[in-house]
Amino acid sequence: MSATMSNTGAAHAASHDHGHHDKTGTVIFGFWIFLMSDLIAFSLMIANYADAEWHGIANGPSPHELFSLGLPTIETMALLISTFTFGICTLGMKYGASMKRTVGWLVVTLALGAIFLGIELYEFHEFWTEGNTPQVSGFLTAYYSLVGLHGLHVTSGIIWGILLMVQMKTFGMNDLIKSRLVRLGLFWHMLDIVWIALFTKVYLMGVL
Amino acid sequence: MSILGSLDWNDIFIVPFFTDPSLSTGIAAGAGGIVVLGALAVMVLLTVKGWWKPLWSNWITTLDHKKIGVIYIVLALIMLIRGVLEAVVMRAQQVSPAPGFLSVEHHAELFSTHGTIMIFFVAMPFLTGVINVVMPLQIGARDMEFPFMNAVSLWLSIGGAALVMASLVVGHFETGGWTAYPPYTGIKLSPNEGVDYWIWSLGLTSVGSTLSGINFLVTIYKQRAPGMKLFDMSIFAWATLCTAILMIFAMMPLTVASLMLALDRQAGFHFFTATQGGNMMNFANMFWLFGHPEVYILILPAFGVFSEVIPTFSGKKIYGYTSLVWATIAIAVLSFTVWVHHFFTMGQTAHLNAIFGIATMTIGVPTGVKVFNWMLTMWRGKLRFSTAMLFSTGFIFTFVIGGITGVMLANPTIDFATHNSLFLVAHFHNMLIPGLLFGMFAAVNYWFPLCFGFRLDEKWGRRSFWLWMIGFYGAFMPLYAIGLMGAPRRMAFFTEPAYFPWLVIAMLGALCVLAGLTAQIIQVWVSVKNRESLMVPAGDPWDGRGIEWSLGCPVPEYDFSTIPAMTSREPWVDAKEAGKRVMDPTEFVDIHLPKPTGMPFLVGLVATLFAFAMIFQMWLIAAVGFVAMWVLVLIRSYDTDWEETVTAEELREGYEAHKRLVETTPQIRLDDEFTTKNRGLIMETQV
Amino acid sequence: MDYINSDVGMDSAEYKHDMARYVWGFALSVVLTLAGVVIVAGGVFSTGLAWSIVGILGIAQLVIQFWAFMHLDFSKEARPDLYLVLFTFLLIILMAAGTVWVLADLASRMGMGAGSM
Ligand code: HEM
Ligand SMILES: [Cu+2]
Repeated sequence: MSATMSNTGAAHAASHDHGHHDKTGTVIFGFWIFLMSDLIAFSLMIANYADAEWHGIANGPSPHELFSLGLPTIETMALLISTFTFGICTLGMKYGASMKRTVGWLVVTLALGAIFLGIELYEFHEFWTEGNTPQVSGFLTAYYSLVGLHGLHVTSGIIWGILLMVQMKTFGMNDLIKSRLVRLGLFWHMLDIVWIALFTKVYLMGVL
Repeated sequence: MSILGSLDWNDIFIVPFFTDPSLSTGIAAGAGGIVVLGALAVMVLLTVKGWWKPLWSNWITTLDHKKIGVIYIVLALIMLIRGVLEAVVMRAQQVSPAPGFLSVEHHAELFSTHGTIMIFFVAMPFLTGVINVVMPLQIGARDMEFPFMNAVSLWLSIGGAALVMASLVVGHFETGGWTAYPPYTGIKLSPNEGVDYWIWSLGLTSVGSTLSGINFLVTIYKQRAPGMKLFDMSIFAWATLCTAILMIFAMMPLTVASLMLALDRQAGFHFFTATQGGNMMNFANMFWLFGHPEVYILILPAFGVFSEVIPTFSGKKIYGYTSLVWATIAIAVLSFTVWVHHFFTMGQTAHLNAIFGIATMTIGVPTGVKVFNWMLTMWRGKLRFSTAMLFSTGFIFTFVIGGITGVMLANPTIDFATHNSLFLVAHFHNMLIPGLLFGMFAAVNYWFPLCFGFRLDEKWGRRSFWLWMIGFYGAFMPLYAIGLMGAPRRMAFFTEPAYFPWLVIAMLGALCVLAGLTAQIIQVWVSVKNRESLMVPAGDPWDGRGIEWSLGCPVPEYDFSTIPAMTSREPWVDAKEAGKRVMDPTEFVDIHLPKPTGMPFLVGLVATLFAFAMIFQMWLIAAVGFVAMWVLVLIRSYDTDWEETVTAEELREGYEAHKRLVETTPQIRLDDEFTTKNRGLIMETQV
Repeated sequence: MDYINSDVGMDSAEYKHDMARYVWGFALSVVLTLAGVVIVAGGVFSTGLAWSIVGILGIAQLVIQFWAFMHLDFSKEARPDLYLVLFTFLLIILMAAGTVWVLADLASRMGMGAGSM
């Protein structure tokens, strides 16, 4: 995604003679649209979850029996801090911060993302070993898929971030790299926004 | 499990014929044979003629929006041939004495592939192709905003189509119809790879379509010629804009639903297993959250085409531009509010059905507005019945009939009686054949010179129109009748003698459609043969109105030598009325075009491999394919030298050459439009 | 909006102004998240009321993060993004709420209460 879109963007960013409009902005706008389309996927998964949690318990546990708030709250905080640190990273970049500072904040962000992911996997593992696998009920299927889909997004965000750091080393902080970093940032912020919905619907309302 | 997953000998297309010889397995083997021999024949031809290299460097690696559009259209036409042939076989099956010559499974495979192919591999690539060719030319852009991504979309679509073709040779397609509802398509009732073919071929194209939607939307939003406001755009560009929005938001529900089905089938999940707390009704729900907007994705571009063709061949400006635009927007938004009408009978309460029934009828209003716009555009115009215009008028006439039966079906109480009957089948073919195919045929006949520099043969074009038109009525009007008599859809055979005469008429109609398709193939053949006399190098062969007609035919790779100045909604008409034969150039500057690259093709190839491996559960190969796909994208992201320059000087030369050509082209009368005197640029005002 | 370049450096007033927005967004998000947790864990409110409050807190945080981190506001530069997001949320309401509505309606006709089946 990132690369396919950015190629043309940077191409145009480099060619001012042709551009009657701002190309970096255009690529970012295209990426926004992609994010919105992704948001539709999440919202359908949430709707499916809402239905499954209501009618799909079958012989498995109910959300009330399964969830507690401790770990998910820590998880949530980790992701929330990471979205903030990413903000510090891209804001500094815009105002000409050094590469070292930018990379530093990016590393912090990705590490927090990894912590988030670690907790999530730990929880999955716990549930799984208690016999609560996705194959048990419609509710558990919906739970693993919804939270797992978000987790997959975080994973790809981390991989993307690492690859981008390699590219920063190769290319330096040119407009192309900056534009990619901003797009990763939007992706990351979006994931935290999605997580608000998940945390609220799955955990907070689930425990009630 | 071996590295080849669930693949085994019996999956190869001719083997079942030897183990269990029958007419049905024979036909299946024959169809597989046609695919294999066809592919071989093409390869031999390419080798003998030495065309591999030009094919690679001019087409496969191209990032030019016009060529990408042409490839889409070629894909659609190839798949259309298969779709129509399958329809004819189904029709023949139902008129032969019960139980017919096809096994029940084979017949089910036929209507499933027919439906899937027609929607996803005929309709979608056709309209995407036409948009690719025309939209940038109409908004004064030199390419799509993201040409690389555009090519990736193309190759993903081709990959999906290739998988459906592969299902003729290796394994089976599914038998649950184009909608593939579980529980029938769950692993218990459909244990073979058929449903997985459906899931993964659709997976590839729907990602392609989502990306195309993003591309179209951003292109229209950011690449319009300076001075062109949204309400200066052509109606076709407006239709594209609305289609793009639908593509961006409506493909996702399909992707989600089909991936859920894949997880149910392969990982034992319970999204749709009723006994384990799953809810199969949510599949139908999500499928139609996609499906209804999808039918407007199919129909809006055709509406756009008619809104270009009808004014040109009526010699008048489009009637009621603003109302047409708002009608298009209204249709696009409303199309997200009516999906429940596809499952009125699933068991909801009556008031919920009533609400969606009323919402459905509401869509009839903006559609009706459009019909009046087109008719009033023709009113008192000087009509010229070119092939494109014939398809357009044939559309209006036929589409209204389909619209009336649609409003009937929107009433839940009527739907309860006609749901799942051939009445419904008649209705949606009545919408899609005129509202999609006729639009695309009109588009090809109308805009063909832009891509290839010559017109299509009118005589064969008109023949093809009449065959399609008569064939359509023959093939589908009888289905309304027997549908009301109670004939269900998707039946392998009927035993009710009262249906028989109607089925015979439908069979004859289908043959007539097949003849129409043949006439179109002949049309292309004849036109290519006579291309010298059909050349219109000066451009604008039909006194057109959009700025795409200010260009010579074929359009040069860079499209516009200078970006046109948008002084009004129809600057090309203004220029012609002021006696000009070329638009005044604005400013010549160096421009950059994307360099050809084989990368999108490779991405598509690897993605197809991945999908194929998923179908046959070759997990290792699938994993490798998936990673390889992203590695390719990563490699591309290191490539920063992707443009080549066209200098201002070259552009000026191009412009001067075009100008000289236009000035030396003799002027002719509009009445000679369809004769070989037409070398481009006829102008009524200058007779 | 220029996302990637600025004429001024990190000591400028613009930087501080932009930074304040992030800090506010972060602080409010933390507060809203913890408030939700406390309400649920505290068990003071009835289930129905707690459910509604938590839902409202979630929506509030959603809006705040769109504003603080994704730069959505009513300024001219952000307008296309804003329209895009608003349109998306219109569709999300149609699709997700529509789905829940349809499925709940179907369930009500099959005597499927919470937890049964
Ligand atoms: C060209 C002439 C065509 C003929 C003669 C034809 C014929 C048929 C027949 C016989 C069926 C099966 C009806 C049944 O269920 O018993 C069918 C189904 C279908 N057709 Fe066509 N068709 C044609 C064109 C098209 C086109 C252009 C489209 C769409 C763009 C289309 C889309 C479909 C779909 C979606 C189904 C439903 C498949 C299913 O049941 O899952 N057809 N058609
Ligand atoms: Cu519909």
